[in-house]
Amino acid sequence: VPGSLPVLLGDAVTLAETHGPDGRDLADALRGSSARRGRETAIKIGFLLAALTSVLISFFIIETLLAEAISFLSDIDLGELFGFAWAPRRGLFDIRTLLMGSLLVALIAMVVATPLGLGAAVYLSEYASPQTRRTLKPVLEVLASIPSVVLGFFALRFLSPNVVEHLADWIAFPRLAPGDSTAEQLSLSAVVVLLLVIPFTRVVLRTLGESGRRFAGPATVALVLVAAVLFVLSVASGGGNGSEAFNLAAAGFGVGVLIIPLIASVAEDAMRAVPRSLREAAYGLGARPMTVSLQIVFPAAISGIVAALLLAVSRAIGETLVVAVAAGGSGATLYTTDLTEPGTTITAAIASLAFGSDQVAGDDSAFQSLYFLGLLLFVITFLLNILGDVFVRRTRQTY
Amino acid sequence: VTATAPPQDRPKTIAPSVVSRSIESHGSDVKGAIFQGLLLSTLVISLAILVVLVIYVLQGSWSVVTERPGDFLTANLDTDPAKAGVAQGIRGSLTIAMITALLAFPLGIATAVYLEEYASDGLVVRFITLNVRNLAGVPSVVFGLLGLNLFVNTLGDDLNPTSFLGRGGRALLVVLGIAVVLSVVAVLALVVRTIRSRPRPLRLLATVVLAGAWVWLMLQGSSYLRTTWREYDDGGLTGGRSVVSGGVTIAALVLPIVIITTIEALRAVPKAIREAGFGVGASRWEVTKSLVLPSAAPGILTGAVLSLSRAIGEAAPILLIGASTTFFSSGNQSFAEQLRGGFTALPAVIFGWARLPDEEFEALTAAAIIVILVLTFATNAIAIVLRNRYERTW
Repeated sequence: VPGSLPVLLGDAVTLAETHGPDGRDLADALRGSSARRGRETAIKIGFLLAALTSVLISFFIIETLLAEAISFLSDIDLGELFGFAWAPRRGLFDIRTLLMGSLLVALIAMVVATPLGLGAAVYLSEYASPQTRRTLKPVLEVLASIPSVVLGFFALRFLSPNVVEHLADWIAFPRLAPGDSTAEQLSLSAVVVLLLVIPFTRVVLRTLGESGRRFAGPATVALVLVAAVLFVLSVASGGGNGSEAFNLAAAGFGVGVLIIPLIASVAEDAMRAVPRSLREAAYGLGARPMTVSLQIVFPAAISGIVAALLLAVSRAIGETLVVAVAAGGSGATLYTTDLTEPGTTITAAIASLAFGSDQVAGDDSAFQSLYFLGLLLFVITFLLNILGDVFVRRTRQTY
Repeated sequence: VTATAPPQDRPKTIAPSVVSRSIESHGSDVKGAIFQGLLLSTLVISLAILVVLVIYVLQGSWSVVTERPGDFLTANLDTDPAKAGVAQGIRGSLTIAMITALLAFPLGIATAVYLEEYASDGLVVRFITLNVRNLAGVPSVVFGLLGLNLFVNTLGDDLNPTSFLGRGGRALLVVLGIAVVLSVVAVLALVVRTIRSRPRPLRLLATVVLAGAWVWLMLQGSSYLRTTWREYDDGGLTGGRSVVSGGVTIAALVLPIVIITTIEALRAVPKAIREAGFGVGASRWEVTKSLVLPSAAPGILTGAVLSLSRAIGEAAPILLIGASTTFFSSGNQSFAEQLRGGFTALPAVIFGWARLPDEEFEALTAAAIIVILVLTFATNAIAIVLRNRYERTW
């Protein structure tokens, strides 16, 4: 650190040395005894070695995953990676089954956790008094400290029969495939309107300038109404057929509960980092709290909020125990996009390969597929985390 | 004040009544009130989930809690639900927490001290920091794969004692043995010095208790090292699927958390404190030891305790390592010998029971969850109290 005291001391020593014999005595006194300097160096090296442990851990993780995954890929026919089921002991290694499972669970989790987490973040950052914050924030911290296996049990024994089954009875969960029943097609259209048509319409209207922008609000309201009508029609035309005891939706809800605190805390940090002056300027112009939250603080903190969501997706994809307990994936799982059926994810497939009744031991390719899945998971979460980090850093740079 | 007096001529286009009405219409902001209500309801829903979870688990475990509260805590795993208990799980979890504390705390704090206090090379610091941040985001199940490959197979079951790695392992045992002896000597010397300085009774008691705990721990450690030396041909350094493998894996898992929280605690210590130390001639280590670490201690401790709660709750890695979910016996081995044998931990017990269709096991699962929740909530409460009580703002 330039200009700090140790550097200044070093400069003083150099300066003293150039000033004859007296100066050299002073330099020795300033430098301290050689025993003392030796101890300092030894301690510094000790700390450096400790710091290198984490690098060593990363190295071993990558070495383990790469070596075993490559040996797995060279053992099997690469065409086997695209089949119709994940059943490693029968030589069926369809990774689409696992990727779809992870995607669905993460999707459900985000649908549950995004509104709850962001809502909590906005409230804690913009509305709560310091006193309220002190009492409400521990709620989120306690929620964050619940072990994931506990949430797995909760998802399987409580959410699945009491929430998912009724919900699945009532509405037909849309699948990422053309639905069989009218109810399913209707609910799928509703979701398409909500998630695709509305954002697309808003973007298009905004590019049309002032006249288009004026229509954005009414158009959104109208489209939300259309989606609502589609949902009502879907429910009226029979709804869904309930769900099985183990299902992907329950696992998704469980993971959702797990990531609420994560989203809330990262997003809240981002919003609190927005300078007061921005808020005060808005209030000075007569804005109300809701306008300040939604149109000043939220856009200003958008990088941090996106980062929160990315980290949450990464966490949802990496979550093992909730899915292993509640989704019902076993050693052999068929490809499915149906949320009400049992399914499996990358993590749950690792789990069922490595422990429980389906444990496979030995050096066959079924066992090595474990490390291939680990590598897949590592790469996906790594990319999401890096992307999240980029967004986090952008918030810091702005202010 | 007089110099910046506002201009007297107000704009005439806005009637004062309009302004006052718009300012005083505070109470009629219906949209805002609904919005605030929605925001508050998200927090209420999160709270409700927590409450429902706790009530559901309490209700489910009621039969076990009322009928055999003591027996449940002291019984071992069993296929008979009337006899099964969590004693082995609690012991395993506490052992894992202890190994984590022993490995991850010193390494994590040392890493953070190096990055914040010592390192001068920006590139090295950036590389290590980036590495730590990425490690913190690696899913726990991947750490399980690391443990399975490295600690269970390479250093455990498959270790060839005559190979290069095998001989290196023997050498490591000797080095660790010397370190154990030296640490006991150092602690005893510290106790003697403390007693000579005639401290207050409370401080004396604390020193003696802590030193006693450390000596006990080191006795167990040396006993483990001796057992490992004796059984080196069978199970290598870790003993394969053992609690040591699990503990070391969990330590690797929480290491990045300890590092990140320690770095934050160190950053909060103002620069002036360090410079005061340097100014009176203290060396880097003296400043770190006597000024920086004591000032940052509450923050470091909070992070450490939180990482312990994570270590107790983490299930995926120890299940991959091979924590038992069904009956197993450790015979009449001593504590140190059991470190190399089969093991289980509370999350593994819960996982094993949770998927059993038996209604009796559902009650047992709920009861085991109560135990693990008590443990994690207690550690978290300690952390929150530490933070609220000792947190300093400079």
